[in-house]
Amino acid sequence: MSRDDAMFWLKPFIARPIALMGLGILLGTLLAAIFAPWLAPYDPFAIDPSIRLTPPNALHWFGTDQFGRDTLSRAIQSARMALLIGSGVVAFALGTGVPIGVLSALFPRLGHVLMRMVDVLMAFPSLLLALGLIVILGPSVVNAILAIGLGYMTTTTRIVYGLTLRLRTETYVEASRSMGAGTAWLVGKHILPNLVSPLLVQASFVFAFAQLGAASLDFLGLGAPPEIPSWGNMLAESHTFITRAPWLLFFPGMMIVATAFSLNLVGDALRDRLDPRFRQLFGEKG
Amino acid sequence: MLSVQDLTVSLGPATAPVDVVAGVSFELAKGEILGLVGESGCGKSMTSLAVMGLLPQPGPRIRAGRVLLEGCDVTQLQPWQRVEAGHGRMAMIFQEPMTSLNPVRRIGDQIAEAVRVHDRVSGPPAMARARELLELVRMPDPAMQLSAYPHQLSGGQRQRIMIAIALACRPQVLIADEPTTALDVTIQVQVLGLLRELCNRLDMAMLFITHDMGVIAQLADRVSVMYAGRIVETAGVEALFGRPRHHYTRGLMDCMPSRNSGARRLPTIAGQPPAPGTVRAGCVFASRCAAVREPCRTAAPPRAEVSRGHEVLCTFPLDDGGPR
Amino acid sequence: MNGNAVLDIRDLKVSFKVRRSGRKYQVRAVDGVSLSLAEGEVLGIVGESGCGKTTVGRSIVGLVRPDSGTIGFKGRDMTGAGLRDMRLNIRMVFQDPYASLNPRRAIGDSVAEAGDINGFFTSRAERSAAIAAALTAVGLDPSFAARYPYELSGGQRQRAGIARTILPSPSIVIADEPVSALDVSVQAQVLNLMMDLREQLGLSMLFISHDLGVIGQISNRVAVMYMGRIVEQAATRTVLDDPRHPYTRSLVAAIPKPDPSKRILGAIETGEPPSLFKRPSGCAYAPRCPLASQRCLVEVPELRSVGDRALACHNV
Ligand SMILES: Nc1ncnc2c1ncn2[C@@H]1O[C@H](COP(=O)(O)OP(=O)(O)OP(=O)(O)O)[C@@H](O)[C@H]1O
Ligand SMILES: Nc1ncnc2c1ncn2[C@@H]1O[C@H](COP(=O)(O)OP(=O)(O)O)[C@@H](O)[C@H]1O
Ligand code: SF4
Ligand code: SF4
Ligand SMILES: [Mg+2]
Ligand SMILES: [Mg+2]
Repeated sequence: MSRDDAMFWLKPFIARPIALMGLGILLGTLLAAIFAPWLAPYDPFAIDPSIRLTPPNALHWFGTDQFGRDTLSRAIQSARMALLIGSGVVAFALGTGVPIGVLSALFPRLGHVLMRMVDVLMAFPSLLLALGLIVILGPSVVNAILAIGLGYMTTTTRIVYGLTLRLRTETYVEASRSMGAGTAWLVGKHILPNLVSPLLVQASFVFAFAQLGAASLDFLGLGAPPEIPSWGNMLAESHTFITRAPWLLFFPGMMIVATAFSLNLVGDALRDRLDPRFRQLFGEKG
Repeated sequence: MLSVQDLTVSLGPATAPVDVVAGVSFELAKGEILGLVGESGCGKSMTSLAVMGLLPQPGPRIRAGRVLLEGCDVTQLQPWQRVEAGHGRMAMIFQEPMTSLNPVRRIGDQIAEAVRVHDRVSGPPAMARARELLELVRMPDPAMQLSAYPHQLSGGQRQRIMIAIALACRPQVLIADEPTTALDVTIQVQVLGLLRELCNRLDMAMLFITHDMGVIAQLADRVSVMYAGRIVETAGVEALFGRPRHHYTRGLMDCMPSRNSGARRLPTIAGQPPAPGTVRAGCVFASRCAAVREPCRTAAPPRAEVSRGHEVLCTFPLDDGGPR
Repeated sequence: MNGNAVLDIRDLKVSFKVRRSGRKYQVRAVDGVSLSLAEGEVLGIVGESGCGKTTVGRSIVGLVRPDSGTIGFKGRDMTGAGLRDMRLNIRMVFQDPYASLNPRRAIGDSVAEAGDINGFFTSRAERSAAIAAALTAVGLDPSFAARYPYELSGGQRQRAGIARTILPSPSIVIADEPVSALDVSVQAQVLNLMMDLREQLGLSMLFISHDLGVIGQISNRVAVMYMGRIVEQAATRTVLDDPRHPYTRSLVAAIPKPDPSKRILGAIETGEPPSLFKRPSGCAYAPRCPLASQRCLVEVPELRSVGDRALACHNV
């Protein structure tokens, strides 16, 4: 990426400090996930009963849990699970929702059948759907991704379907058809490029809500296995200590909220970046 | 009746305002139709919205100038004060009749509501007046149409409804912003005829905005030609078409296809209008004017009365309008 | 019809199924249109909005499937066919310059689209040279290739839309109200451009418009449409100077003439526009026609030739 390219993507963040903050939090999470073993001040798995439930102090900034494990180290280690679940769910939801939505809109007969099925799935609350699926498939990280992803696949499909129906009748799509364009051309050159920015926003929301969904599953013991640290697991293990050791809930809870929130901020900024009409906002010609 | 003096509408920060309407002045007498003609983006709609006190907020604002309705400056009044002070007697109709009507309410109710606001009556008297208004705009079958929904009417009929709603406040001044642009010629001629007849009958003044020189010639008593936020020529309709004195007016007339049938090429005005606020000195038309001379680029052209009631904003106006 | 016709349409019928207030209707948008376009000719199609002009154009470029009728291109029948070489040979300019260019594609990519779809270019260099040539031909600087639609004015967009239809150069251009959305001064520039291109590239053109002034300027022959049918067809000057069909007469009379000494307001009666949902059984124009007779209410007038023109009317 050249300097100009970098500036291109940075501009919406510079124009809006709150988006820059979101970007910072996200980058922080990403770095934490990659460099967890080096960043964590202590071994996140090391048990030391002598320092059980110590409040935050100079040695243990986030305090320790009921086994004397360092909360900060565990929170850093958990970023890995958060990113894994988030990207898995986004990949699944978009990977299935986009093709189903686009094809349904382009081929009305197929679409009629597929969209009815999506409607049925949408009738269930997404957490209930996820729970039901986990009960059938058994708890595991992959199954958690599938279970949460299914709920967002339906909303993604709906959004893509609606947008494609509209794009399909745009004059420039008609122009392209009149010149002999086939379905692959229309999808690749006209429909997908115009879906990118709404999908980017959708992806950031899905990523954010996947964090909450994963946390809920973890909390119920149906997500990541308890021995792997995740913010949801941390909440689940320590919720009985809420009055004695509130920091055990406060810090992982904050991490969940902060990543979800910052993802939404970044998603908004990227959408504006990709919309030519917003270029004036960033002081470019046009 | 209505006197607009030096109206200036600006966008952008107060420290660096961009004038989209720059010092527009015109007078409108009782029963008179003034045509305001110009290309897209030249500031016609901004002028009419400013006169009506309907500028969108936030955004454009009146930076200078006065709008006197029977001697009272209405720019100093809030919209509700205008009605209280009896100066609510200006009404406006817009280009797209469908977007100005509520699609899920019956025509009769929508007209009656306008009657209720202005006459402070409701129920059967309001509905009776609504029916009267429909008769006034020569709607076929008015009693039946009261219970119709907008989508059941044709474009021309919808525009008649908009006119009926505008007439509900018994306006002294009607501002019509391209009310026939979306209509077919066969329907346009009916709506224009109706507007003209109403002005005569109700002694109502009308500011009629359009980009169509043909419509102007058919309808207006006097014409103001607008370019890049300024009125560059004002004259009686016969004088303007018979002997245009501004180079832009002349150019506009020359490039109309119906004046050239048979010619292999149409005369054109080269280039495009300048973006608002980009011309800092001299004449705004200089970049496209075929008769441009050195002084045009530096000194703002004077507003000169070349003959009685015929004003031109040009340093070197056309002498005779040229051969046609 | 003509032996040397590049485009020959016979008895084209197109209908749409629409729902209104819960009921299903079959709307006959085009109801038996026959047209032929000679080599190098500009044929104007004029009529009120909704009379089926656009639908005729869309049928020719294969965007709607006709119910019946044939569309012949240089003697070959191509009804409903998606044949590649015909798609390159017949191209369409659209009315709305703001909607007809993909906001996310650079102008150059839009201009080269027909070539790209049909594998016309053999190298990148050839492609960029062709784009530059097409842009130059429509009076745009080649640097416009890298710009995006939002950076262009309406007139420039329409020029780009025209550049798209001449790369590679077609035989026929269907222009659907190409100047209706433009201002008069820009309209004249674009009309001049289309006349120049027609001459340079030897195009035949179907020019759809509701503006008789524009039609009079550019076309050799005019077909007047009313409710899906052609009611009068002849050389442009014949139609404009001496309209015969009652509908054409009212259309010509209603043009707002830019001459304040010839005022028509209040002097002519044009009647209410028709509804496609309630098609009269005889002549569709009968409810508005000053000449309507008993026969008009029951019998549909066929298009027949009268002297140097074709007319569909019982009483003229
Ligand atoms: N809300 C707004 N914010 C910023 N600029 C505006 C706004 N509305 C109009 N403008 C600009 O003000 C100028 C005058 O606009 P206006 O709508 O009055 O033109 P017009 O003559 O009525 O054109 P048209 O024939 O297209 O309606 C234009 O340059 C336009 O881009
Ligand atoms: N895809 C469609 N579905 C239903 N009705 C249509 C469709 N396209 C056009 N029509 C109808 O067919 C008629 C003719 O349309 P069109 O050819 O676009 O008219 P014009 O171009 O003369 O304004 C109109 O009544 C229009 O509403
Ligand atoms: S002032 Fe000069 S540039 Fe402006 S219109 Fe007159 S002659 Fe042309
Ligand atoms: S056929 Fe009859 S109704 Fe139709 S246009 Fe002719 S005279 Fe009028
Ligand atoms: Mg306007
Ligand atoms: Mg059309």
